[in-house]
Order: sequence, then C-alpha cells, then structure tokens
Amino acid sequence: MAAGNSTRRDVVRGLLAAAVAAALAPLVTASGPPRTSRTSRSSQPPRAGDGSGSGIDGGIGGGPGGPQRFGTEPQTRSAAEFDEMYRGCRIRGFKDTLCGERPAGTVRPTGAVPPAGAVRPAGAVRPAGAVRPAGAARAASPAASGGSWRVTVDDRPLHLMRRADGGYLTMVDHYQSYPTPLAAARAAVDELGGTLRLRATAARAERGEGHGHGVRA
Amino acid sequence: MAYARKNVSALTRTEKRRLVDAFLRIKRTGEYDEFVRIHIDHYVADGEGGLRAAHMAPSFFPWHRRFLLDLERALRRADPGVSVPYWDWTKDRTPAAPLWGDDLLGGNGRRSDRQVTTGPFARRHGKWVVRESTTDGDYLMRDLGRPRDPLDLPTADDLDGALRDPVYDAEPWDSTSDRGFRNKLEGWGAGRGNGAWRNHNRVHRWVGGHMLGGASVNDPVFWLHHSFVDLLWTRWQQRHRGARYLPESPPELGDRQYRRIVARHEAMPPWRVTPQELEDHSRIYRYV
Repeated sequence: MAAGNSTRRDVVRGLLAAAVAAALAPLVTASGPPRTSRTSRSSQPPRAGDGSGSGIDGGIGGGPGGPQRFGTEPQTRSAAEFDEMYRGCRIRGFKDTLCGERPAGTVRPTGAVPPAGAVRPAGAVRPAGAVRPAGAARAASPAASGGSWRVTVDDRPLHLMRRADGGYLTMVDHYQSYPTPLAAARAAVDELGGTLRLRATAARAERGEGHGHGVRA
Repeated sequence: MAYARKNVSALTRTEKRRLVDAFLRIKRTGEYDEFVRIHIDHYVADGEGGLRAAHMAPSFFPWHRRFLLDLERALRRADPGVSVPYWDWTKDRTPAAPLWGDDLLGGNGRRSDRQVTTGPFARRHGKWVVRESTTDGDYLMRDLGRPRDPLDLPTADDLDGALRDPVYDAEPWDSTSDRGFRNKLEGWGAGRGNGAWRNHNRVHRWVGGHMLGGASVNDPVFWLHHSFVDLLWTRWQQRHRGARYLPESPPELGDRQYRRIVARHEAMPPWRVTPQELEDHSRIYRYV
C-alpha cells in the first residue's frame, strides 16, 4: 500500500511540475501589491462564513432562506479578485485564468493513460478511472470552469477545491463548502483562530514539489 | 476467526491501555503518518476533474472500510489483541463521554490554541507530534462542540433518516445526490450554516481542530468515528436485505461521472480491491 501510494505521489508530482509551471507567474505576482484597484479592506470583519459582508462577493448563494445552490460561475466572475484584512489576517485571492479551462469530467488525453492492461492485475478487474491516479487530474487541471483561484492567507497559499454545486472547500475545512472563495478563505481564518498559520510548505506544493494539498511537513 | 470491534464505552481499562499503546507504537515507527498522507492524497472534491474514491462518491463506504482495515492490521501487528472500537455518537454525545478520558483519547483542546493537553496524545508527552498538517502547529487540536457557534452531534433520528433509504446511492453519484443512503450518511447538505452538516460530516465538525480538515486522520478519534460509520453500512445492509452497492456498472462515455467514480466491480485506488469485495466483512471482523 505504501509503495503504491508513493508511486502515485510521484506521478502527481510530475504532473504538477509540468502543469503548474505555467501558472506560477501569477502566483508570484500575487505576493506583491494588489494588481488592480479592485481591493477591499474591511475594518469590520463580517461574520464567519458570511459571504455578504464586504460586498465584494455579496449575495452569492443567498443568505438564510436564500437559494439552496451556490452561485454559478457568471456570478462569481464579478468578484474575480479580493484583498482584505480579516480578523488580523490578510486574505488575497484572484482567478488564475492562465491555468486553462478544463470542464470537470473531461476525458484526459490518451497520452496520459498508460497502455491498456499496464497495471491490471492478472485475472482482474478493470481499475476504476482507467488507472489514472486519484488526485492527478485535480493537480493538473483547475476547477470546474473558468480557471482556478489562487488564494493566500498572510502570503501562504490556501488550497481551494470546487464542489459540484459550485461551492468552495479549503484544506482547513474539508467537510463543508462555501459559496465563494472569499467566504471559504474567511472560514479558514476563523479556523486558524488567531494563533495558527498555514504551513509555509504549502507554497512548495504549489510550485510542484509536493502534492496538491501542500501539507508535507 | 473473525475478531470483534467493540463499542468504545465498553472497553476495559486494560483494553484502552493496549489500544493507546498500539497507536503510539505505530506513530513511533512512522506508519501512522503514512495513513494521514493517504487520506489527504485521496481527497478529491466533486467539482474537480479526476477519479474520486474516498469522498463525495459511492465508494465512500468501501474506501474507508479498507482504510480502516489497513490501520487495524498495523495496530494488530503491534498488539494482536486490539481492534478499532466504534464511537456511537448518537449515544456518547458530550465531552464528558468516556472516550475523551485521560486513559484513552484525552479531552478537548484548550481555549487559547485548541491544543489537546490531556491524555496520551497530548504534545507534552512527545509521543504524538503532528507532522502532516495544513497548519504550523505540531500538536493535536480539538474544538469539541465548537463553543463559539455551537452545534450538536447527529441524533438517532438524523441517522435513521439515512438508514431508511433503501437505495445505496443515486445519480449524480456525488455530494449533490439527494437520494441514497451514501450521501445522506456521508452528510453533504445543501445550503449554509449548521444545517449543511449532516451525520458523518457533522461529526468531523463537532470534534473540530484537526478533524475538520484534510489532515483529520491525525486525531485517533477519526478511526473510532469511521468504525461506527462502517458499522452503519452493515446495519443498512441488514435493514435492506439484498440491497447492493451502486452503481453496478461504470458511467459511460458522455456521462459527467465517466471515469470519476468507482463502480461495483472496479478497483479502488490505492488498492486493487473492488467495492463488491468489501461488501461483506463477516469473515474478518464483526461488531459487538
């Protein structure tokens, strides 16, 4: 099991190295001053998980009693960047459209799939997903549509994942999704609780030296 | 012969000590942290591309069953007399429950930084140092009940709502499936706020700290929680005789879930085992 897993990580690592290289420049840019005037500095932090507080992602997904499904892509596009102080942390995010667009579920290029039977055990079952290692596509392709978000908390990357309903999950809070990247980032800061920081090593993963979640110690 | 998995509240003092010792031993050898990494690596969300085996997918139950078996085998190499007990969170509902005692998992995290300071997994003993995490603390964290915005553990009624569903899982086979036992028990709700957390997910939220994030396996309670989740799959099978894992065959080309979920006869990564092969555990272990 352990051996198989490390092999899988090696594959992911390779894919990351190839796929993330192109996306690196915008990440570096994000470490500098805000790129546009579209920034927000909230002196009064909104409530945890409340996406309507600053107005920058306002209303998406609705408040209590609002729509059950989260915002669709055209709605979030109007808030394609944020930069604010929230509970003492600087949270910034922008949509990295250079990372390409690949709808979820797109069939991978044939070159990415090993020859048929390459890993099939004798007499056996077809491996699900045609032997693609879990997570490889996640690392190599951005979210469901329109590029991927790059979010940092105090300049340390916060990995975001998309949910099928359009919501966002973070590595800090894996069991609930939020309507916008900003709401997800604020919820992550709530969890950090003023005493913790994201691991700096997450940055290494974003550069392709670890896996997608960037939690190697 | 099949060994028994017991209710954690029924463990004797000696059983607790042996279980704790086995955990500490595989932590020392580095085996434990490999389990933390595997869980992190296989968390693929359903809005992303790629195969989802562990979460937001039909194979949520068999994936964690196999994951638990691997951990249990590691524990039993350290001490052949132990097994992973289950935590019935519909009954043991408070931080005063025996599993949080100093002789087993230790208690809640302290208020200032959520650090667990009691019991054998407290950082100060030097035997449970968190190495694989998303944050920079190297100590185990809990936030039982999340006092700043309290929520309760799932109730027996909540559980029954999932167990009542006679269908294992249903299209679109992800976190938005509103029919099927699997998603109702895994617990992805729609909307926001505390109501969005159900059953399995809600327990992760209630424990908080490490249990909330991708590195949830750092808290040994992860296994006790998933031992109960595993038992619930068995209870569902007993309640709906003949009901099987779904889907039976993989989604076809053109389906949004094509190559993204594991059908009954397909192999689950990182193993080569199929959901069908994991539907019956009675030859390996039983719940008492």
